[in-house]
Amino acid sequence: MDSADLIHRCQTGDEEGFAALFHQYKNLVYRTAYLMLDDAGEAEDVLQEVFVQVHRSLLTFDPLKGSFTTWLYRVTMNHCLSQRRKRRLPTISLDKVSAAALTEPQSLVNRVEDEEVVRQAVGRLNTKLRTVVILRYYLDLSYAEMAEILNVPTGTVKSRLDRALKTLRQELEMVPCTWPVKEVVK
Amino acid sequence: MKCQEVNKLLLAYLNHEVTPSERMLIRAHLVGCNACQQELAALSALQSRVRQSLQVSAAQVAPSPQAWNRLQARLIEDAHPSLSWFRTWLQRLAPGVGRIHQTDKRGVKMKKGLAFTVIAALVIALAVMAFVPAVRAQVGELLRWFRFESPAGGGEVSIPGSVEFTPLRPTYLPAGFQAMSVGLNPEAASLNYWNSSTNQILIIDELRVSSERSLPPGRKVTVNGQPAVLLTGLEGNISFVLLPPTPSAPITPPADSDQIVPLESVPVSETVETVSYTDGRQLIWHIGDVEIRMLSNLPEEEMIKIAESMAPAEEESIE
Repeated sequence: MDSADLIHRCQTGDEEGFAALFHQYKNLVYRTAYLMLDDAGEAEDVLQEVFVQVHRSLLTFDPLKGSFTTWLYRVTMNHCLSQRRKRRLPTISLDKVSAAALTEPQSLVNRVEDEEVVRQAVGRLNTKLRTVVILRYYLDLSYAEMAEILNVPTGTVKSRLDRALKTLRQELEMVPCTWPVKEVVK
Repeated sequence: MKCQEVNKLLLAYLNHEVTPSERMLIRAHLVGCNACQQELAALSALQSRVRQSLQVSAAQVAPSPQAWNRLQARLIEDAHPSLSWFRTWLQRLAPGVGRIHQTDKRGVKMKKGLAFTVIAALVIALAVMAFVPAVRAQVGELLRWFRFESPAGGGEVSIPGSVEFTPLRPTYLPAGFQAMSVGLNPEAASLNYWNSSTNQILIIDELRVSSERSLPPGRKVTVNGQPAVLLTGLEGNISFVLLPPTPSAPITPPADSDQIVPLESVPVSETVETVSYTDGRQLIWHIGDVEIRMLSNLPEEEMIKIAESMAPAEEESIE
């Protein structure tokens, strides 16, 4: 069902519409939170917090002022950032990770391990860089959409993504991918 | 355009985030520059690798099957600020002691902690009745007294409360259930029971609501032919404070009925029993302008039977 229809139903007090909205977006919100936080329990907590906020705010949500999914992503990211702040753990910039700490190339044998290596590398990015990587490469958002969600200029999104890819490249080029990757040359 | 300028724009170029004029200039440069072509290919491969990894990682995880039920319970909690006020009021009277409703990461946070002034109030009420008839007459002008099964064991007792509605009590309970606490305030009542042999709990909360208030989403059932909702798959922990059968020493009631008696001055010994449940159910229905929420790990049929036995508590006239 179209999200605009579901939102309209919710705004007229239809609780089954809210249930349908939850089930339509729960995977997206949970998986985004999981990629941000690397923890299933915390991702579940974020899922709850996001939809409690959605439930509270739906009555005042005006679809003419913006897309529901953009708003949902913003709420999700805000709760992920709050959850990370609660941990009060330092995020270590990948730049500071020494080569000796990285996995030896010989340990890579198949695609599954490479995906884990890449995911861990993304996990070691600082919060700002990790956020743009997930918004771009998991949620497939444009720079303008990312800028709106993060409330920063498009130029900031561009420079963060550039830095993120540069950082990931420095680490991952020491651990070459052993399976074919589709290359797009324009 | 020189290589250095092109390199700064290559990622944006791959992501279709450059202007038309930039795109034209970059393409023209790439035609004659192998180094930039290789850089473009490397960036493209890296992006694909990152995208693939995130998509695969995300596809391997999903929210728990209880996520919707947890959310429903949380929304109900969110919608009842007066019940939160009730808990805060009880906590001020006896902070730190009470029925503690904890949660683990996967469980439902059903309540944030019902402070155990319920027990303190009961003890004070017993003392007032037993030792100070004169005060009882004075208190009777401010409070209404209702009969409930005694949390201290041994029959029924009258519990006072400045209640503006008549609380309900179950007239049927499965064998082995003991009343653990009773709490009353102008807008809410809470009756808590426990079967220590089977570790089954029964928590009945009653709240005055608007008559137009609808039931929350959930599986539809009926109680005495009236619509009700049943939530299932709830998890959590509840701790009960166990009192000895009778007060261990006479308790001096407050001279001023509004005076708050610190719990430390009540000489009772206590043990705490914690019950964990993973098969909790919550039955929600309305009787008039009262919403009743029954949390238990009893079978559904027993919960409905208890719900259908709910009747107004007998009010005792204090004259």
